[in-house]
Amino acid sequence: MNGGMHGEQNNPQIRIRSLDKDSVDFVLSNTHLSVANSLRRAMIAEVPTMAIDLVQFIENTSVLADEFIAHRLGLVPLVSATVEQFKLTRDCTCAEYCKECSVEFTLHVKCTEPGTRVVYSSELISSNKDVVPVVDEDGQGVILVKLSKGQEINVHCVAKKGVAKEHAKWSPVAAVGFEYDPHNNFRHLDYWYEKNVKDEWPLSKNAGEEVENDPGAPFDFNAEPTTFYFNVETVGSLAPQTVVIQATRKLQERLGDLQMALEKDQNPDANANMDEGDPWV
Amino acid sequence: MDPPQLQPYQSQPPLTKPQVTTYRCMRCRTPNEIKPREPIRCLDCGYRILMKERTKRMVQFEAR
Repeated sequence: MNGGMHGEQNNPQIRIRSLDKDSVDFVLSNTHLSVANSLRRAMIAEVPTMAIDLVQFIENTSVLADEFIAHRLGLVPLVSATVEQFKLTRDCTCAEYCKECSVEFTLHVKCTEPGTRVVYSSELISSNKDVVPVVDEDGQGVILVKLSKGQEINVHCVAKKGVAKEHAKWSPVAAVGFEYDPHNNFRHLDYWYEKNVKDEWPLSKNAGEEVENDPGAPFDFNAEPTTFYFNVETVGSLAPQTVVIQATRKLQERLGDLQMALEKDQNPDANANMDEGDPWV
Repeated sequence: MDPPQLQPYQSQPPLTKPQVTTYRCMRCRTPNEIKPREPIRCLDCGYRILMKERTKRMVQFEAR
């Protein structure tokens, strides 16, 4: 628990506490805080998904402005299990978009009866059967617009592959719970309280996994956290286990790139020999 | 009569007709064709608030 030795951190472990359709709860241990935080950040912002990125309006007589509807359409989660088959549009050879880097959607609804016609994301017609709007048990999806009699919306959308560090609409997760040191043994937190800290700050469910340090014991300034509690909640575009796996892959990829760059940097002669010209440095 | 001769640097002959835009009356919804400098008034009911029609062209937005 008080491990600050680097030898212990070479063998990270994951213990899955619960897994269901759209969330996973796991404990990551034997690793450094920076690694755990990298995983958290990678899950939020680096895992690619599909999302609507371009909206062409043919008709819009609804009460909502074009820009407003375009923004809403962008935030609609799309089933992205096949996202790896797609290229990023900027890496694709096509001029604007093509079926290798995008999926097209159409939505054409006109309200012809008195009353309100509610338009759901499930009414978007996809050009690819594997990339469709995420729906829950009722099969409707999210409400896009409401139309009254005579109002019409007719749009053509282009969904592209992307990552959330470009725009949050591509994030596969709604929230990532992250906690360490539930007893605040390391005193990374300075709780505000009125009379008694323990009464006013109830322990989290993760507190059962660790023991509280003896309050009388001398404080260990070198202690570092090694156990991290994650709760990943997806938006439905990817399975929770896929999000975790893809995030670790992305981290590995990044570390590989960094290692290559460092090796190249430390050994500039290897590059200089490629052409027989003068070395740059 | 011959069509007006194009100048070498002109791609189109200059517009001779004043631009006419259709506006719709806020009260009676009749379309009004209004030319520049004309009073803003519905020719049908005399109401002074008119609205411009939405473009018939397709409009494209980035969904962000």
